[in-house]
Amino acid sequence: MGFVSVWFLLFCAAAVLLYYVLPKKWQWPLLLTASCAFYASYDLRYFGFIAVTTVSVYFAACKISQLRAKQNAYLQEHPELGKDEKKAYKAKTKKKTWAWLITCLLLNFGILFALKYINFFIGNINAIISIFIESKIPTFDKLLLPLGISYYTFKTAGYIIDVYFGRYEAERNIFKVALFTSFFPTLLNGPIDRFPLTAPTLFSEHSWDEKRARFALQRILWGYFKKVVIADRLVVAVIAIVSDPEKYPGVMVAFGALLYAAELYCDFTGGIDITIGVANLFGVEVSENFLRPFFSKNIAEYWRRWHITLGTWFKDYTFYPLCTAKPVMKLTKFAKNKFGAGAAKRVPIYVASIVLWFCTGAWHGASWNFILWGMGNCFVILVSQELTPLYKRFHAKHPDIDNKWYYKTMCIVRTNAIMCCLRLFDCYKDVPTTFKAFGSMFTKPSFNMLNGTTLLDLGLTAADYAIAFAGILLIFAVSMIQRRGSVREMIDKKGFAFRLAVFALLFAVIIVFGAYGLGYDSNSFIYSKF
Amino acid sequence: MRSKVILRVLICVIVFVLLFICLQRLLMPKYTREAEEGRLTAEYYGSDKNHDVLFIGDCEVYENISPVTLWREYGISSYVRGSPQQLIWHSYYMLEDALRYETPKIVVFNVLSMKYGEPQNEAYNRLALDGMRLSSTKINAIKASMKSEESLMSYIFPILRFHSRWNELNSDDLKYMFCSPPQLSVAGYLMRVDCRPLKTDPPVGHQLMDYSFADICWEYLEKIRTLCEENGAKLVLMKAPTVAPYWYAEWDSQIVEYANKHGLAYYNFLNSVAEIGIDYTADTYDEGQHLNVWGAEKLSSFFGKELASLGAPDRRGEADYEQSWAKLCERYDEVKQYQQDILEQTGTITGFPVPD
Amino acid sequence: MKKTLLILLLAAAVCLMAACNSGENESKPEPASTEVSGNTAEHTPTGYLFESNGVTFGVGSAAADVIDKLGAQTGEPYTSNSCAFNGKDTVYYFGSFEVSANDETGDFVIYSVYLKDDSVSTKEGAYIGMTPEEVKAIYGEPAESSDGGFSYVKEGMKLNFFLKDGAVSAISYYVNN
Repeated sequence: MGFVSVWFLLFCAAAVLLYYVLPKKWQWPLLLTASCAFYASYDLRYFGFIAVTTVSVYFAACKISQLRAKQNAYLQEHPELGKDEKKAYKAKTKKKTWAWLITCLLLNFGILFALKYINFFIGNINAIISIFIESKIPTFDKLLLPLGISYYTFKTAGYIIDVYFGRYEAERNIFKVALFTSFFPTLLNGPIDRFPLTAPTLFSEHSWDEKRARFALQRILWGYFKKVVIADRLVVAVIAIVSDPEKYPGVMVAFGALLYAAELYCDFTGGIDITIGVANLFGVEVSENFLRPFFSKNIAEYWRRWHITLGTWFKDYTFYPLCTAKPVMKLTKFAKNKFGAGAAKRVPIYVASIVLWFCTGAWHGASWNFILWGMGNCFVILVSQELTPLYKRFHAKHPDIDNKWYYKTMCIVRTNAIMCCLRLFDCYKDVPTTFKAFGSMFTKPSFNMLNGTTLLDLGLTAADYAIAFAGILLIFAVSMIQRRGSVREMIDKKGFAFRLAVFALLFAVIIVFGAYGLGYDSNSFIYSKF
Repeated sequence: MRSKVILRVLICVIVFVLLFICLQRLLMPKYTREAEEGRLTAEYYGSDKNHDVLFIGDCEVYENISPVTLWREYGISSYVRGSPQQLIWHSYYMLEDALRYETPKIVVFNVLSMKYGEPQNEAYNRLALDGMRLSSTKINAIKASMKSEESLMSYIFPILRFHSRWNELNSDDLKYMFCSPPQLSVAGYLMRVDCRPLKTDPPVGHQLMDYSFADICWEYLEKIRTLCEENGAKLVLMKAPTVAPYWYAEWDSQIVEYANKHGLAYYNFLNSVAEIGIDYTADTYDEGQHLNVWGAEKLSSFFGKELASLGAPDRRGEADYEQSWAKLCERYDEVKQYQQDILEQTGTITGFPVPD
Repeated sequence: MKKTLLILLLAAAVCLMAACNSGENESKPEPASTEVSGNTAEHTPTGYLFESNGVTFGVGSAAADVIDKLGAQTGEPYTSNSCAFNGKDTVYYFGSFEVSANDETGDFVIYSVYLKDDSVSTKEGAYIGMTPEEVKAIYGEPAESSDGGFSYVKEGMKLNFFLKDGAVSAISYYVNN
């Protein structure tokens, strides 16, 4: 069952009711049961994969913690040991813990690779082989893609890496690890949470808190509004444009990119709102994943505001480790000797950025489109960094310009324009088509296509456009207000009657104007295929 | 403080539930301007549940059988429980639903729907089922009827299906939000007084690869028979005397065999057209596909004799029956006159016009 | 700063030039080309085709383009209406064959051609009275087969051969649902 279904709402209602009726010690086990039931509702065959991940991560983490505890106990019991002996002992322990870590990571990323990337990998090998010889390696048909595999694989990888680095002790209760892995609201579109952030509220006992529940329900409503009224409505037009690039070139590509930006934002943030709202109903805190990303003034800021948990995961577990990895340090030294300090400064950043964005792109999808999308982001960020001296000179000449509204607006528009262009890789079916579509904006602008007839040919009525536009304006207004503080708190202060009226109206809007039901496929959260 | 919170929660729940109900009532199609037959299923619940004969089936019953004629000539109290292109599983569940309210002595099933072995389309499912009161029967009917793209929840909460009607709303949606539109049928019968004669020989059906009825149809026919048996009702099979859709001899023989096997009366009125007195140049409003009121009265007059012989009691003289049928007869004559006036004024009739 | 402005101006100029050229390059929707040879109906029919009175057509052809060109009808067309909705289904009689059309797809199109006697044949030469083997010699192995007959499927339509007493007793062209 997806988020946009009555069954999901009934399921959550039943789970919440039981959660607060049952004795508090049964609360987190109930969440685990509910998560298993939710997972099973998709496909029982998925269980095997998430179970392997859970068990392997649990055992590896426990083993690592055990080895480290053993090491600490040994060293404490033998204060007479010399520095070299202690070092040697620690190195031996480190070798063992490293082995556990790597085995666990290889196993789980191996599963992810096998299920999600193997056919892409084989396809590329075949493309290379076919230059020389006829034969082809066969691809795999009917590969299962377990629900949320990208999310829970990364979540558990972060957990075991943290345990390896001694940031916290391994969780000794396998069922708690299972709940952390499979907590049902986070399965469809994240966030990729960290264990120490989630665990305290996930496993602790909660009493019913009326205000918390109220805010959670309001957030869920807001999420459904974005997802069902706007995202699911706009996707029709987006698909019409991108599936026929010959028919919709030029300005229609730009129009499609704008629609896609709105649709992607509403779909993803709507899903996260529902996720966080549902988690909050159980008193569980889950990380925010978006922070008004379209208000970003540069790409680096954008990625600190969009899919925050994915960005921080890659930063913490890919970027920084790569920057300080021995091979990269060697390369840095070589570059310094050969090309000077300037080059040396760049080597770790460039290497880490390229790998990070390659992986980020691949995470989004097993195709060159996504990888080039990642590389495009990398390119823009690196170029932006290279232009830092130029920016510094500019700001030195115009020290107050950062506070000027027109400058901020220009930066925001520029950032969004770049992101819209990069997102074209998301939309079109392959790389050549994407470049062709992008190029047509300059070679075949076709401004006259932006007329009523063409727009109404995309599968949306005038009323649909009006609703989507009004909805986007509302989201924009709420985002602007949000910069001053919590909108729900502000509404709360206006009193019960006002609050009831606002959310009853929101509820009515979702029910009446939602793009759901026969003819709509409500389960296709864009990010749920990850 | 706690009681204040509980009160507020209660108010919230009530407001949201009322809002949901009101929106649903507003957005549900009222079937007043299009597909008026969609009102038929719900109209049954407004009837006096005192019927000795229940007809179930598609438009071959609700446009060809006149319960008022059965009453007037034989004192038979009957109702036609039908909907457009009502499939056999719809008929089964309609019967099961009706049996929750009354116990007829005779159930007449029109066998045309034996030719449909699969759900046809969502629209006909909706017309048959949306008007049914929520019950386990309705849930089973929905599950049996749903096409793959439909969902059970959208039948239990029809607003999930019809919410997109917001830009098709008309004054009738507001007018009939909390009350029913005018009674369309008279004891389940839809009347047409006009005539469009059959201008050619009745169309002959094309040869088929396979004349066997689907297993599911036999399964439901058997369920209908068993249900009647369990409720002490006599099952009678009929085939209306309509020229389209074509009723193959190969189909007919299977029904005859089934009827003989189970000792059921089966009336194929296509074989009795002359005896009934049906004239396809005068007694049909759509070239023989359905009878008009004159044809329906002839058929009912003929059939009534058979039903009486099968044990349908004559309820004339019984106060309750006289009272409810007096109203129905009045309504029947009113509708007939109303349509005849329209026909005289405009020369044509569209749909099933009835006075308010 | 000056350099940046100059770059921006140049970029804007390039865009403007591209916009100026758009008048020549913009794609305008062109009318779909119609092949009209002889009396072939405007809709390009697919699948197995039938020919009569010099008109070649198949299922999916617009009824308006075909019916009037098939010659004199041997009886009044019979129109039946769908229950509750405004759908119409009309059978046209041409003696040896019948053509049926309905508006299920929104347009009034032919969905069936039914051959009734051996005075007409399919375009490939099959006719009523042939043995199944003779038909299969023309069309090859059928896609579907049963006691009542066999069918060939092609491009969204079916060509049905009905059997009675070991020989073809009727032939129909039908939309393949």
